[in-house]
Amino acid sequence: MSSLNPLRHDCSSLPADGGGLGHPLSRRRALQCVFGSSVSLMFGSPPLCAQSPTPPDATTAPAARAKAVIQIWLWGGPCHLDTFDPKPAAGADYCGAFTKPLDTKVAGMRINELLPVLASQADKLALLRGMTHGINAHETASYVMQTGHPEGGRIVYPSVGAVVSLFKGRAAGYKSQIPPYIVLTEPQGRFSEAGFLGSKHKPFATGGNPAKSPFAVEGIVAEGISEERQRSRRDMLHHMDTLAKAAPDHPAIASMRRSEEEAYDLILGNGSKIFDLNQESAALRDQYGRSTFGQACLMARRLVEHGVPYITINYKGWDTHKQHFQIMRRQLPEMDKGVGTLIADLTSCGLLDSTIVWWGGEFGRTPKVQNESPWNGGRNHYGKAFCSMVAGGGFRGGQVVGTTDARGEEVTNRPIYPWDLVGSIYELLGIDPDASLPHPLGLPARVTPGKDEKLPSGGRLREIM
Amino acid sequence: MHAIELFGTYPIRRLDAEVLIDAICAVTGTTEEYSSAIPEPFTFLPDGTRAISLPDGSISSSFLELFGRPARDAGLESERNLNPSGAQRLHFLNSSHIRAKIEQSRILRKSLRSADAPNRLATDLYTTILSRPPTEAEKALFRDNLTASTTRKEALIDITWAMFNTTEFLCRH
Repeated sequence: MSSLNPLRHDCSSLPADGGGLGHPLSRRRALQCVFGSSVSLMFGSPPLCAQSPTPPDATTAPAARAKAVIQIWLWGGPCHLDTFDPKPAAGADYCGAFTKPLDTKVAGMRINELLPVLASQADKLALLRGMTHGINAHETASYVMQTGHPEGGRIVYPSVGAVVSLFKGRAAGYKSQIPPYIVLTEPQGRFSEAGFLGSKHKPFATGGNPAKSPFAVEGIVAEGISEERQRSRRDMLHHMDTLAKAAPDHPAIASMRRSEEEAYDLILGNGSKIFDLNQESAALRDQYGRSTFGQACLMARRLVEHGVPYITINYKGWDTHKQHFQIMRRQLPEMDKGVGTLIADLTSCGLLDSTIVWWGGEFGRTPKVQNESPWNGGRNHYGKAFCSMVAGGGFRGGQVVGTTDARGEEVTNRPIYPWDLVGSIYELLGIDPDASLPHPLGLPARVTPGKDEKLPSGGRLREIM
Repeated sequence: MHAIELFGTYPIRRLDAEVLIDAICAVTGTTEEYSSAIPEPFTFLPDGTRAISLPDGSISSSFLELFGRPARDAGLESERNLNPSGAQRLHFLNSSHIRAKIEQSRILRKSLRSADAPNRLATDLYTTILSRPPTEAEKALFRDNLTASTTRKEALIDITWAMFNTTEFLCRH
């Protein structure tokens, strides 16, 4: 079987680790001295009380194997039967029109017939068919899946991205101007990604559409304003800003000027070049698919090359209560091209071993198709059994973890709870899952729930680590 | 620093998030939409609702969060964050949000329509945006800037943009 042959391209076209984009460290130190408080960082603000910006003592942290995570978040919840856990024998009531799943490179692993690119990459994927949490509401399920903590209680935990931004972001030595936690292209909107960690660890949502040219990244690339005009506007601003000229040494005014310089470094400097997808070959862009999602996957690869530790691609449109099969026919190939090409591309660039690709949504969809009105062929939310997928970053590929029954309605073997999955990801990143998080009011909070919280658990994904 | 702490001098500080967005909306004649997505069905607040009158800490917008409006979980004054950050400046300097507001603003429409002399136009703009008349030097600068760009519309957009980005507009003065 011919495997996907990603076109050769120069993966080293971007400087790794933001070479040439980072600030000289002295400016940050100067800020620290002037204000005697925590560092006023590029995309953040000092925490609520005087918390130290350095991450908690990481001596018990596991050895890191992965450096970055690309989270492909299928908003709405993809159906496990129609993606990675097909049940063709269950009857048309359950599998609908998808009766012939594809055999993949891996013996015995079959996936939906509309996912050929992923089938050819099956030796890199680990299908987590035993996912379960039992929650059928969007907001609650999103929160539980994205934070790895159960709902309820006083504390609003931060998502995996925000925790990675805390432990692997600027406080831990990340030097690029590009923020460490990026969302392509809009934030989900129904839960707070940063939780109690506050606005410093909110993701930077690019906005815009990567399939369009230029990719108008919010605040960095303004469509229709040339670099020359940006500069002339800046000059005009400096001439008109009489208050700043009158009292340049006033601390408030000086810090505003410094923030302005930082912002302009990003607008006029090399930072915006990373978002220019025209630097990639047209053939590669076609391979990813010229959809918003496909190009977002390509953008994510570029960001990983640059050294960004956490990227979320928010993929809308999976909440298919109605017209489920029509929408799947359209979206599955698009998703397949994007994710499949991304994994192949990361492999050919040598990045898959250090990049975790985490695919999934907040829950699955009911195995039994709802043919009655008003759904007329849709699937409802289903949190009892669903499927996620991980690849790369230390996870072994070509594996299946967990099984569901003949109809996909219950997990029969090896359940995987959200905290199991999230804890495994933290371990591979070198973040101690039992480390404590700095809550602004001093309440005790841990990266993942501890054993004392007595939550049902299938254990971390040791089988594939 | 002692004098500043004891209010010996006027404390220059950045406007609060809600006040800032309300000021921009009032000056440009545009509105922001506030809605609560939790729970479904969504709640939409009426057009023209001002940010300072938002009843609930959870009804927010990305602008308000970026500029330090607290979620009001803890009732501590320190929860509100008035420190400037690169991301905030980036938003004002280059975001499509502010750009759309300027381009749709009634000041722009009015200035484009009027064939007023530049001095009169300068006075109008300065009083609308900065609440004071321009000095002679500023009027001269305004006249220069008006002819600097390729079109009058572009010049006016740039001038309005610059005024929104001055320290004077962003801080209480």
